[in-house]
Amino acid sequence: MNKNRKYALIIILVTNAILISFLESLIPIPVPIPGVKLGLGNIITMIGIAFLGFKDVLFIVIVRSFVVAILTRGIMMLVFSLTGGLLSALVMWLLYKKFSKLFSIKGISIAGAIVHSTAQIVVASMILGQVVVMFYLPILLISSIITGLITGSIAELTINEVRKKEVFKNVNQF
Amino acid sequence: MKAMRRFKKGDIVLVLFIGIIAIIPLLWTYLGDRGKQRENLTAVVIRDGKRVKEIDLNKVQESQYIRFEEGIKTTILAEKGQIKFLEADCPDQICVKTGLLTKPADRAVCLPGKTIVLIEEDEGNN
Repeated sequence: MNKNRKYALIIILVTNAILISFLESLIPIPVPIPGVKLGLGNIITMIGIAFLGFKDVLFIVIVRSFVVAILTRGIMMLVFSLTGGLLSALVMWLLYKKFSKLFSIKGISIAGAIVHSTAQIVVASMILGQVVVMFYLPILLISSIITGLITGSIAELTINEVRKKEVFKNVNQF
Repeated sequence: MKAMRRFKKGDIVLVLFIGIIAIIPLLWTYLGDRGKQRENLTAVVIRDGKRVKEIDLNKVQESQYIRFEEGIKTTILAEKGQIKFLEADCPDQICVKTGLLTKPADRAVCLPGKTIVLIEEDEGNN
């Protein structure tokens, strides 16, 4: 295990995060509510949190947000994915490192999704100069519970599998 | 596989807590809406944080188009008792998919275009 191996693993996670978020943007969402989405990129963030350092996780989230914003929703939407992504990564990191006894990966993922949508709504009301978008918060919270549970279950399965294969063994000594 | 299906205490508390917080306002609006008279509907168009237009939807006789040409191009169509985003020059099209707004507290939001259309009900104006 050397430093290059760690970088390679980070790059693999970044490209996976980009691809998965891009593919998600191609799936039409049946409800016309701003901010409702699956948040599949969260799976990769969760894997990063489980195996890498906090800086590496931030790197993954930032690169993913930039690339996906350019590819799909336009650079103006970057502010949403970036604030939401970074804040939810921070909360999930804290929960995973400090409160693993209380929360499973599914719960941590749900908490991340909730933080993500709340942050987006706050940013949206600042951009629009109106608090009326807060009206969407209850619906977003419900959808966060559902999507967080889906991505959390996938992340949990993946993390257990990756741990068994020892892909990230000793990676944090670099 | 068994271990993966397990939830921890915090998971359940979190879901219940947030679920209740979210469901109360939803029920509130749903119950509050029932049986209300749909009169004196005013559509408000907000762009860049300013109320740029108010339309009394009951008095609209012919189709009325509101167009914004700067930034994200947006067209809003107002007709008697209803209003909607007809077109928006943005990738997500959420505002257009929202469809017709016909009752109080209905709203459609175009985030990229910083535009909100919502319906307010005038009270005691008659």
